[in-house]
Amino acid sequence: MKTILVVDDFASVRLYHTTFLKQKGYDCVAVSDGAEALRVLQQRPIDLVLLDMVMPTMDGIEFLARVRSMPGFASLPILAITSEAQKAETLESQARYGFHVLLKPVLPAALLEQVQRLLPLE
Amino acid sequence: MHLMTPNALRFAREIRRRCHWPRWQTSLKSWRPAWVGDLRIRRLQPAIASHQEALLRFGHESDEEFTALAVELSRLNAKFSELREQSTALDLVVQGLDEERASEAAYQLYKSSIDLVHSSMGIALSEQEQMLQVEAGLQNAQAAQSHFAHSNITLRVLMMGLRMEAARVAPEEQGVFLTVADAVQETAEKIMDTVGVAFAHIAAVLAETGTERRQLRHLEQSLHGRAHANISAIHRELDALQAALAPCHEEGLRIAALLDQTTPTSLRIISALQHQDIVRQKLEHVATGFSDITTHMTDGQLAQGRGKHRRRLDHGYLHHAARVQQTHLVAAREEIETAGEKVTSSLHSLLALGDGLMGQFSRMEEVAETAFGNFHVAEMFAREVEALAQIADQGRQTNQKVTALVARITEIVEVFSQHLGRHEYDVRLVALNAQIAACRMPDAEALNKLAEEINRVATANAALTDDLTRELNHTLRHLEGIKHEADEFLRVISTERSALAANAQVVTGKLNRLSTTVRQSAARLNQEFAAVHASCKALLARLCFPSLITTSFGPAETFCLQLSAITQARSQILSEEAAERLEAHQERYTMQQENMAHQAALATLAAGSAAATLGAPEDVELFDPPPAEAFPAAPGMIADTAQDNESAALPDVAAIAPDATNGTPIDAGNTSPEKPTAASGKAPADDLGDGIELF
Repeated sequence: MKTILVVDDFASVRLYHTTFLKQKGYDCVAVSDGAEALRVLQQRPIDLVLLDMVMPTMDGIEFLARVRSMPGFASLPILAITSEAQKAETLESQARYGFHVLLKPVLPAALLEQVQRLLPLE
Repeated sequence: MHLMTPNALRFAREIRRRCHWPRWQTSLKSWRPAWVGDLRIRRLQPAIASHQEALLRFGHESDEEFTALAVELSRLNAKFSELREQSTALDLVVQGLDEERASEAAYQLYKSSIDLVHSSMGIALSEQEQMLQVEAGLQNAQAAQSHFAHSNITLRVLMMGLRMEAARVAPEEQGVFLTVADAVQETAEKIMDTVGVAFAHIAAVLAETGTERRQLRHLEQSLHGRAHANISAIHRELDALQAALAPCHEEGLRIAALLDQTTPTSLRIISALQHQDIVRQKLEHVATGFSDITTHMTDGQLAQGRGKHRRRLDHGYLHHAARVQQTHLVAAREEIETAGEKVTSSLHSLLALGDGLMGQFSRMEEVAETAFGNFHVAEMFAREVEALAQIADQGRQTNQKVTALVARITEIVEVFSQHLGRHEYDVRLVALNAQIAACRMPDAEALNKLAEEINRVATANAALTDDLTRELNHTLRHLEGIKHEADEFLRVISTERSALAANAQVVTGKLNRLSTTVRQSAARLNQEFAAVHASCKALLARLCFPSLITTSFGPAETFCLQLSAITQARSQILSEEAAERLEAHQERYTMQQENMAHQAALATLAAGSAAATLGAPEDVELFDPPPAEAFPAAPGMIADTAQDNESAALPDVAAIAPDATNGTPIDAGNTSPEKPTAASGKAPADDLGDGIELF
């Protein structure tokens, strides 16, 4: 089963994403910060990362920089969720770290479309 | 002269003209008695003490005045420092670097609001989709109703057939089949009643599910519309605050640039103020020099008699001493005037900078006042929290209804699985009895077939009921899953909403404190700075040391010039004792500059003349040898009496006093101190003082 790592500091958002994606046939792991996400990446196979760009302690940009520097994760699909306020900053980093962007509000259909495009179920 | 007749006057003038009297007058002047100069010198003696007092008083009063200036300057600089701190603090606020990070907290709260609203909206959408699946399941279940109706009709037909066949058999054998037919009919009716009720319930649940789904849709639209708009407004408000505060940064840069100019200006003032102390010490030395002159005048035998027994004053010493003190006075005056000019001009510059700073800071205050005055994000967050609370309430109500739906579907499932199942079991049992009875009877094939068919229909019904029950159970589980997720989501949302409300209060408090701090601090500093600024201006306006310079230095310089002029004729003769006294006076000078000035003054005086050692200081000479350029003495000239000498006027003050406008005092660097400087425009002349007027 394909596994998605949901990284968001907001509990309700984690719940929403994991519940929805599980209903669609994906396995989900939810973490609340970038540091914990890096640990999970090193402990189990992850097929897609759903990443909130604005988090305390370690924001999305820093997480991207670190994960791309880790061996074996240079091509890991990452879907970054950002708001209009951080859109410009996020797009600036997109070319550097190679990830996909989804703007808030994250509608279930749009989320499913992006996830299935990046990680199609067999 | 005024007793002579006009003819005698005319005769005397003619004689003077013919005898070249001016030349004789010059020669006679050089032959006048030395003690004439002593008298004139002694007439200057009483004024020395007042000159000393004036110089010392100048040192004291200028010290007080300069000290007051220094104190005010210190206060002004302290306010400049406060202004710098306040400007820096406000600049940090503009950049979001204040102590409480109020702006960052507001943005974080805004982000939390977004996340909460979006996750709520996502869950609402997800629940809608699941509700749709529930509806689909119920609709599938509802479709089975037609099958039950069809089965019921089939059973009715079979009952009719059973009764018809039973009529053809022997009456004693009809009873079983009629009983079976009645039983099956009764049971079929029960089944239809039960099915009717159950499907009515399913229809009601379906309708309610549709209603809930529409309400979830409404909730989603409400979240997407109103709450999202509020959040966008909050974002715009936060951005507007940043934009409104941006000019503060520019004003802060201007303030910093002005403040940078205050330091070198203040340093110039402080540096100039130090000269007051230096000049005070110089004046103390000059006062000491005056004391030496006074001591020389009053030392030794005081003249009690007249004529050759009167003690002579050392003109050489007095001349040199007077010139030395004059040199120091000139230098001191120049120094204090330069320092005073620097102090006043720099203070004016500082006050001008202060005016500029006050203007800049007032503008900065206005910008901050306007920015925070138009900032309503606190109310927006409050409305947002309230909207989220209403949304959470709706979600809670939806959950409660889903709970009710779950209960109702559970009942329906029970109806199908137990009641209906039992009825169908009864039908099958009765049909089986009919089959058994038909088997015992000959020629009951038709009856057997009918019973078999009834059994088949009942079995098919039972299978349908099982399918329906499974479908409903699946739907029930789905609905229970929705409820479970909604319960969990509601719990998380409630927690986050409470945290959001608490954070909104915290952020509101931070923003309010920030606003108050900025406004109050700016206003207070503005007031305090204005007060110090005004105080400094007032002090500058009432400075009086320029006039003090004139009243203190002027008379002392005049005295030195007068004494120097009176003693000019005999200035070349410097006794050994006088030289020692002058040397001792020089050794008292602690400052190199003064020492060098003293040395230079003495060197210039000694350069043009040969120092000759006199005999015993008690030698009295009535006449000094005339200067080399003097005309030869005229025969028959008679020395004047003392009365005439005493009536002789002092040298013309205006002729020898320093020019107050173009400053012609003779300084230490002047190589010919006997002569006025070129700037005065006066031609050098051998001024031997007023001579004896024979006529």
